[in-house]
Amino acid sequence: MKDSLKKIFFLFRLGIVILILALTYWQIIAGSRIANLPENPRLAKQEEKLLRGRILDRNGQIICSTIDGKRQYGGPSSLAPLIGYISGRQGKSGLELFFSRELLGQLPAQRLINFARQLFGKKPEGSDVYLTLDLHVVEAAQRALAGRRGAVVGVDVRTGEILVLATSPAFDPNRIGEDWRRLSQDSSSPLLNRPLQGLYPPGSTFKLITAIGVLNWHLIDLNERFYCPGRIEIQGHTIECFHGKAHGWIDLKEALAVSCNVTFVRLAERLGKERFYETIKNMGLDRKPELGVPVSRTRIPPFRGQGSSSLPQLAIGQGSLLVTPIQMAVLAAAVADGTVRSPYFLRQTQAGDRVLERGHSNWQREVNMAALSVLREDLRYAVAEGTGRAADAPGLSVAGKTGTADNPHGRPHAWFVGFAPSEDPSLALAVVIENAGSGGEAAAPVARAVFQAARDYGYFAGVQD
Amino acid sequence: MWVSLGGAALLGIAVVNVTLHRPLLEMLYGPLLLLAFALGAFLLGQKRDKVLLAATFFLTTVGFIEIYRLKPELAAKQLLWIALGILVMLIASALRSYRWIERYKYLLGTAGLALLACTILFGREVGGAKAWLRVGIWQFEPVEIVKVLLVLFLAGYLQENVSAKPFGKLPLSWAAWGPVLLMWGLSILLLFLQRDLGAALLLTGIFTAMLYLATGQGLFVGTSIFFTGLTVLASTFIFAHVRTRIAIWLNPWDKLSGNGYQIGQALFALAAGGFSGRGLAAGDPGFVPAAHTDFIFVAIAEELGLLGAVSILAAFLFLVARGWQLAMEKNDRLGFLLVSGLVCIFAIQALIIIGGAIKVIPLTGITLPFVSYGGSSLITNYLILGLILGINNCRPADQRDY
Repeated sequence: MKDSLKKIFFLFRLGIVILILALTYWQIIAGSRIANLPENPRLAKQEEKLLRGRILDRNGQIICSTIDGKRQYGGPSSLAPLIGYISGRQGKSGLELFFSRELLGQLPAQRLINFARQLFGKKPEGSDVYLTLDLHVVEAAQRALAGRRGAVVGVDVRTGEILVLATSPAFDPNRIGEDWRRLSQDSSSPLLNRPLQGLYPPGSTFKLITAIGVLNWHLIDLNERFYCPGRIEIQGHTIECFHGKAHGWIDLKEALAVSCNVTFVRLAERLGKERFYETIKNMGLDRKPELGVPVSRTRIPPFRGQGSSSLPQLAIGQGSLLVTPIQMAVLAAAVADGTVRSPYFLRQTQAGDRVLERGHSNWQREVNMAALSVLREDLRYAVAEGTGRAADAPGLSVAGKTGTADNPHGRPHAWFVGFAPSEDPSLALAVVIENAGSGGEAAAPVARAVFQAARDYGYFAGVQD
Repeated sequence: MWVSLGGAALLGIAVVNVTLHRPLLEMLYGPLLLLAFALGAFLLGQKRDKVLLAATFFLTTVGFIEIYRLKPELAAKQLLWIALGILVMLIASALRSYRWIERYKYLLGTAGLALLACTILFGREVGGAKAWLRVGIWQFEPVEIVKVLLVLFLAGYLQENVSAKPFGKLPLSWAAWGPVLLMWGLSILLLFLQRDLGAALLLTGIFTAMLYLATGQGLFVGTSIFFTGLTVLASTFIFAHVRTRIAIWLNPWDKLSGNGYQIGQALFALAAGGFSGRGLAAGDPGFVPAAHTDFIFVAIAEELGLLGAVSILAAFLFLVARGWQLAMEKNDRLGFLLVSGLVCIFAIQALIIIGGAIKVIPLTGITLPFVSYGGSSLITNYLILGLILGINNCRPADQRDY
C-alpha cells in the first residue's frame, strides 16, 4: 500500500522532470526558431510599436520611410523589385524583407538605444539602412532604358559595392495592393528584378572567357593573325560572323573589336573545353552572388552528356548557356580589377548618426594575371574603334564588349559589358536590353549614359572633361 | 523558504519588466498581494499544515496576478471565489471524523453519477464540451465535485472490500468488482457523451491510482493503461474530435490557422517567454485562447519565463509530496486511501493540463488547480485541501490496521 504510493510518487516526479525538459525545449532550445515563425502574432505587434527604419541611398537620399504609420516609397521605380514592399496581403519582399533585423531595431546596439529611449518614454526605432546605390546614377540608368525591357547593373570594381541597378519595366510599390493582379499577370514581368533574376544568353560578351583563357595559358602570340572568311564549319555547326561579313586577317585585338565569331571559335578550339570551363570557374561565374534577395543561378551547361553544349556554341555565348546581368558585371569588374569579388548592397546601418555595422564583400579571389592588362587594352580598343563605339564618353576611356544574343523570343538581346576608365577602372557595368537588336546600337548608348552620370556625380576621381 | 525565494525572483523579474510598461502604482499590486497571501498562510497555518497552505497560496497568488493582468474585469470575481474557497477549506478542515465516508460511500458514488447524468440532460455547452450545469443564477462544472465524490466512494469501497491479509486481494466476484467497474465505465461513458475528454482522462487516472494504492498490484495499472489506450484508439475511429486532437498533437504546424491554432499560440507564447520571461504584463499571452483558464500555465511561462514556469511546477511538487507524506503518516487504511487519493487529484490534473498545454500529451481541456480562473474549480480544490487537512487532524477511523 505505502510501497504503491512511493511508486506513484516516483512516477509523478518523473512526470515533472519530463515537463521541465519539455519546457526547456520550447522556451530555450527551440525558442528563437519558433518565435520567429511568420505565424507568430507577436512579430506584427512588435512592428506596430516600433518606428521602422528607413532605406536610403549612399548619399542619404530616402528610398523609403514610414510616415504616419504608412510605408512610403520615394525612390526611382526601377528599384522597386529590388527594394520590395510591405503589404498586408502580399507580405514582405526584397531588401525590405532581407534587412528586417536592421529595420526592426534588432541589432544589439540598437536594442540598447531603444531601451534607453523607452526609459524616457520615446518610441523605439529601427536602424536606417544605407545602400551602396547612388540614386542619381540609378535615375540616369532608368532614363536611358526608356521603358524598354532590360537591366542595368554596375559595381565598384575596387570594393564590390553595387553602385547602380535598374530594371525595366517596374512598378509602383505604393500601390502594390491595388495593382497586384495586373502586375502578376503582365507578360512583361514587371515584378522580376531583371539585373539579378533575369537569365539571358550572354552572346558575344562571353568571348571574354575565351580571351582570358587563351591569354592566361599563353596559347596565343599577341601578333598572331587569324583568317576569317565570314563563316566556319566545325563539329557539325556552321557559325557565321555578324551578317556573314568576312573579316580577313585579324589579330585578337581586332577580333574583339569586330566581335569575330570565326576567330573566337578557333581560339576556343585551341583552349579546349576543359580549360574553357576552368576559366568560367576561375572568374567566379559559377558562384551565385548571395545578396539576400532572389538571384538566379547562372545556367552553365554540364561539361558533357545530356544537355551539354558544344564548345563552338559556348565560345560565342550561345547554346544552353544563360547568365544574369549581375554576374556579367562581376566578370567585368574582375577583368578591370584583377579580383573576383562578391557584390553587396549594404553600405552601413545607422542609428541616427551613429554607424552600427558596415557592409562588405563576402568573398573575393585574386585572379590578377598579366593576361588581364592585355585584355583591358583590347577592350578599350573595342570601344574606341570597334563595335562598342556608342559606349564611349568623351574623356572617360570606356572599355568593354558588346553582345548580340540570339534567343528564341524574337530579336536578339542587346548586351554591353564593360568598365571605365580603362587605365584605372572604378566602375564595371552590365547592360542588357531584351529583343533590342545589336548590342553596339541598343545597349552601348545606355552604358554611356550611365558612365556619364557616374562621372557627373564624382565616381571617376581625377577624370576631367 | 522556497516560497520567499520564488516570490523574490518573481518580483525581481516583474519589477524590471513592468517599469517600462505600467504605472508605478500597479507595480505594487503584485507584491502587496503576495504579502497578503503570505500573511494569510502564516496565520491560517498556525494550526494547520504550513507546507500545504504555502504551496496552494503561492499557486493561487501567481494565478490571480496573471488573471488580473489578463482579464482585469474578472479579478474581483476570482477574488470572491478565492475567499469562498478559503472559507470552504476552513470549514472542511474542521472535520472531526471520517467514518461517515465509509458508511455513505454508495450514496456519495450515486450522487456523483447523478450529477454527471444531470449535466448530460440539462447541461450547457461551453467550448465544445457539455460540461456546465446551471442552478438558478449559478453555473458550475459538476465534474469538479464528481472527482471528489469519486475519491470518497473509492476510498470507502476499497477499504471495505480489499482484504487486509494477504494484502491486496480483491475477491474475484461481481459483488466486489461490480460497483468499481460500473462507476468507472459509467463515468467514462458519461464524459464521452459530454465530450469532456480532460475530465475523462482525470477520472481514469484517479481510478487507476486508487486501485493500485489499495491493492498494490501492478496488474491493475497495466490493465487500466491497456483499456484506456484501447478506448482512446476506439474513440479515434468513432469521434472526429478525438481524431483531430491527436492529429493536432502530432503536428500542429501545418494547421496553425485552423485546428492547431490554440496549441500553436501556446507554443509561440512559450517561445516568447525564454528563460526569464518577458515580464509581468509585458508579454502577449492574450493571443492564446483560454489563457486565463486552461492555458494559464502557458501565460505564466511567457511572462515569467522558464523560471516562473518551473516555480509553478515546484509548487505542485511540494504540494503533492507533502500531501502524500501526510498520507504515509496515517495509520488506518481509510485515512491513507482518502488523503493519498485526494492528493492524486491535484497530481494528475496538473500533469494532464500542463502536459497538454506544452504539447507533451494530446491537449484535453481541464483547469490547473488553484491557478486557473473559475469558481467551481477553485472552490472544489480548496474543499479537497480542507478535507486533506481535516482528515490529517482526525484520529484514525477505526482500529483496523493493514
